[in-house]
Amino acid sequence: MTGDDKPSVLLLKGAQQVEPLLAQHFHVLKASDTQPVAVVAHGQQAADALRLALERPELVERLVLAEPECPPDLVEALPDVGAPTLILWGTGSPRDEGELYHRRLPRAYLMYVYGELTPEAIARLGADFIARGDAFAVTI
Amino acid sequence: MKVSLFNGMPYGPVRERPRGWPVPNELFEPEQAVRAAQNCMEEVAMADELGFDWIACAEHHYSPMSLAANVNVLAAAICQHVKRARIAVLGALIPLNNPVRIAEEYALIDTLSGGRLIAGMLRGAPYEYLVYSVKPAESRSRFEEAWELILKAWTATRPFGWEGRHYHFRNVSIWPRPVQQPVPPIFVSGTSRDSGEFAARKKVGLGLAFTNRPLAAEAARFYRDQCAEYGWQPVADQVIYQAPIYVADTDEKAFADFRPVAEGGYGGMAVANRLVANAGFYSDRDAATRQRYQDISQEFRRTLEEQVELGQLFCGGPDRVVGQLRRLRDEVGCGVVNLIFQRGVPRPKMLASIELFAREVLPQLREL
Repeated sequence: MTGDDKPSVLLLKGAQQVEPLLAQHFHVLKASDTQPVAVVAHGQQAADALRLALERPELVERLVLAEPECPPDLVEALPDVGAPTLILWGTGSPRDEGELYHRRLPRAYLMYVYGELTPEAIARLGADFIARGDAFAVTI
Repeated sequence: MKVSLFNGMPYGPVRERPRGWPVPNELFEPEQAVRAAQNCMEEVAMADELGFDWIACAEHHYSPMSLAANVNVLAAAICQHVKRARIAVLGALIPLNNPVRIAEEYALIDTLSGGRLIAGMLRGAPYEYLVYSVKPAESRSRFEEAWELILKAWTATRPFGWEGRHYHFRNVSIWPRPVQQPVPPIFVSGTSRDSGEFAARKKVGLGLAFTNRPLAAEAARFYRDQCAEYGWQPVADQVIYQAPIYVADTDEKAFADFRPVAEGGYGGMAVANRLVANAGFYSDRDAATRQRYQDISQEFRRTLEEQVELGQLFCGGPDRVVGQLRRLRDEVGCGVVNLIFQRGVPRPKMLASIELFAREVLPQLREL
């Protein structure tokens, strides 16, 4: 959010024509203007986050993926993701693919949350990982 | 029926009879402890050669009753003297310890023994909660979370972190993993209904100890009913019954030798058990178990004959003991009996009891 109360949007390459239209409603950030960001995504949205990390690696500093669910072609491409990634998985989840993502992502950290993966846990662990990077491994 | 010999490495008689628990360790004599350790190793090696199926040990604290404060250290030593029988750790007290450490130590024992570990995962008797400052009311939830963490540590093939209610680890990737894949046989205590339901839900075995035949029969029935609700049926070997035993040539000799020990009263944990049982250790469902701890010391003031009749212990000549164990098998349905031979009789008689049991009783139990 910026001072004028408009939400911010990140405009990627290929969408230049829509910029003036978007600007009526949003504060438009261009990729070239912004610092790399951490991307947090849950479930199937992890696919978008991973595609962004693959296609525009300079934009994605870190990834936080909560119980990611991706199509096979994207799973195949995981070894090419350069961003350090935190994978979060609830032990109560019927799906347990944490090890699959951990094995394929080159710089991944797998964290099980006992029981259900709550928004609070995603926010707390995600914030720690974003703030500390590899030092996330250290208990402080 | 399988037969397990329990050896908790008791210290033996102390200079003064201890009152209550914890037992002051000014009574401790180093030389006697060293002898106790040597005796323990001799006894487990002997039992292994005599054909016992399992050698069992358990974690207990602050008393000469057992020197196995870290039961896995004892189990590692036992592994070196027991070449054939399984090593049953019944068990480590899961909520009192670091679950990752338990996963590591159990996997190490499984490795040292070439895959012979039986993994007991227990909450422990109430009094143990006065040892490491774990709140009794957290025992159940700690146990359940630690359980998930231990199973994950054993089966995970990638490093992981754990964020729980009670346990927080940023890095887990144990070496060794268990030799028995995916996990060793697991038993939980089934004294409480909560535990019986848990064992059924997790499809693991049930251990019944510090109980008697009617109570154990009821607990085993409850467990089997719960198993049926969870869609499976345990085999006989998944129910263990533990109790003291003494066998002599004749019934008369056995009762005469064992009476002073068996009628000598309770081990002094009554007050501590009551305090912890009343501090949230048992859920509402287990009000009856909690009530039992109010006056458990009374149960041990029964006559030897009453205790034998209840199956609280086994005593007699070989044939009479076979009859007692047959009745146990029939009423509880346990496929494994975990026998405590060290219950205060002098060591030569205790060793004779083990040998006589192996020669005269054990072969008859094979047919049960």
